[in-house]
Amino acid sequence: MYRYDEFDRRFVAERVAEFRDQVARRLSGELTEDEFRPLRLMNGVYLQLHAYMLRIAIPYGSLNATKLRRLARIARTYDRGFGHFTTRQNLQFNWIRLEDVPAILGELAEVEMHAIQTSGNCIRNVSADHFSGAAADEVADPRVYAEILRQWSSLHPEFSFLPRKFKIAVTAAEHDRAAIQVHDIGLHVKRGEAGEIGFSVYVGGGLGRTPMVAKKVRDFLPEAELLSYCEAILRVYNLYGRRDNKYKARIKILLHEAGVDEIARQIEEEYEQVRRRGVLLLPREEIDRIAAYFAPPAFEELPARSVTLERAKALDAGLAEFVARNVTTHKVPGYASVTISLKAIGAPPGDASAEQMEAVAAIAEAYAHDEVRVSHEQNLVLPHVRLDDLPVVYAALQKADLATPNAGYITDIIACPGLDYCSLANARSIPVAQRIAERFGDPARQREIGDLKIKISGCINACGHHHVGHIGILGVDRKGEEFYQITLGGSGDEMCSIGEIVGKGFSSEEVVDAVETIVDTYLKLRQGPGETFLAAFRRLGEAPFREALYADAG
Amino acid sequence: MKKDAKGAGPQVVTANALESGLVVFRAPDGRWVRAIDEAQLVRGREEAAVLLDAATADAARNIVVEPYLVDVREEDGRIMPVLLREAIRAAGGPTIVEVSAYLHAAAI
Repeated sequence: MYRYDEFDRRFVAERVAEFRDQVARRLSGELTEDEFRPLRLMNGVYLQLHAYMLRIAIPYGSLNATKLRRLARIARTYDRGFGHFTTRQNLQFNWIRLEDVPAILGELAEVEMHAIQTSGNCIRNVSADHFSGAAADEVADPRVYAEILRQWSSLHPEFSFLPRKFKIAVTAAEHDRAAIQVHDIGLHVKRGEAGEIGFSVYVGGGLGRTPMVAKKVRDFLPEAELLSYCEAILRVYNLYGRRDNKYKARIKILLHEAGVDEIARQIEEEYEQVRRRGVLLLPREEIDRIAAYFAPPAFEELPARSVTLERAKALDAGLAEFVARNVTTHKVPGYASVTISLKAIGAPPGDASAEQMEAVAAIAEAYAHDEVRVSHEQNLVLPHVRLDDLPVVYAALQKADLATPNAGYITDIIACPGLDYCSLANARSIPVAQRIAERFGDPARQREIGDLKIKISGCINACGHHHVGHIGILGVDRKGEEFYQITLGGSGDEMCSIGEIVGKGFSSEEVVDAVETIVDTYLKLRQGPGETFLAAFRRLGEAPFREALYADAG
Repeated sequence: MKKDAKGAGPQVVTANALESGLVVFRAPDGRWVRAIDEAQLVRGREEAAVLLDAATADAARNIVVEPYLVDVREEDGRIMPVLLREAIRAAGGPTIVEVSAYLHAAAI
């Protein structure tokens, strides 16, 4: 877990005091809305469709019981008893009163949390693999580098007014669970031939109205040069990124317009100047100091197979199903990582009640070394659980309605808040997700379909990551009616691809049937249960799906 | 995304309350109310401009934030926004169905 140092504590406290004064001045009329808007956005406060929304930063999705209980308390005291976990591994409260925000920020500061840089044209919350520190396939703990980047980018004077927002993601596994190739900077932590740490650096990925897969600009950046190289990238972007048109202001557009070779050349040129000064080479002792924050918990020496778990599974089919789907191999024998699905059938994706947050906090304390993660897929993760403890963890999750065994299934849907909450949206997302989940809710049917990621956005800004959904759904407004455009074949992992639009959109009434037609077509044409939807799509192309969807239309 | 009202039919003025952020509508007596049925209904460009001016003055007095006109229609004596976005705002909350998970969790 990250730790606040004196500097963190001081600047967060100062910011809370500053914003308390700004809110008071706004409420007294001393500040107009035009004057106040940029100030509130700097503190994560948006004015949404129904009320103020407060977005809280959760560094690389890292929580513990204390933080989670505090979020639950805020949900209960200041909101309507629940919060919404986002694709940036953050949390949003949808019903906040402006006058309460300073008190909430004060409560967050007490548990080393804040809402700084959750909005605005700055470097946003750095995200990372939600299985960091636990994944059997990682070469190092990516949180160490995410934390170094967090410290460097927090209130960075040079990069607080970029042309547009800037997002960084880090993974340390070949299988990319952090969607690094759809970020402004994606970092893949690797080991070199001598075992030394370095990074493959990707630049210029992003979704939104112009989806693009990032380009690799460095195959192996030495560990110590992480910040100097990122500084060079940000400098080039800050200097040449467009400020005349916010729709063309992200670094992906700069890369697209100037060409990757030219931008890579500029980055390297800038980097050479930064490097020559040698001011941003990471000292070994500093890397080690940060790494100590993420020292593994005291794992016990356990057999790889748990007799307790196997016996319990034999007696409880529900547990067996949960383990098969929501439990992931851990790097340490006798342990596992547990995905807590926030996608109960019919529930809004990513929402958790205060009681559910408290239940997870209690489980984490008792059975998971006090660690909880938020995944970009809007689920929670207990990274370190003993296999022996899985039956009791499962039972506790069941009590809190958090044991839905659907991780990675068709009902594990990412959905943005959409027109139910968001002032930018054109169409609703959550009700579509709810209806799809209900249509496919039967466990046997989900098992038969296997891995399939549906992602839904309520507008072109693509907060629901629809471009990288195996099935992506984009809500649009067509003459006052909600319509949904479907894309197929997107993927946010190491084989990153942007989904292709399959044809004309569907009405709200039609869209769930359309998804079912796509799924049925896949089941009919796949080469067996081992061929996933994405693999089948890549083999078949969109033609059979388009034909099935639009056959009746002639 | 917010769209400017076309103004061909009846209209009301909406905004968000400064302190709570909640959706409000301007009533004939100048109060800002939560229920759209209590909103002042105007017809025609001139009436709409007068209402919007009054609302803008309220925004300048820091009562509400970002007032704007909304196209509505009257149905069975009720005021109904024409656009879905505004209908969702007027309803005071999301269209999401009650979720059993919440109800269950609250009982833990």
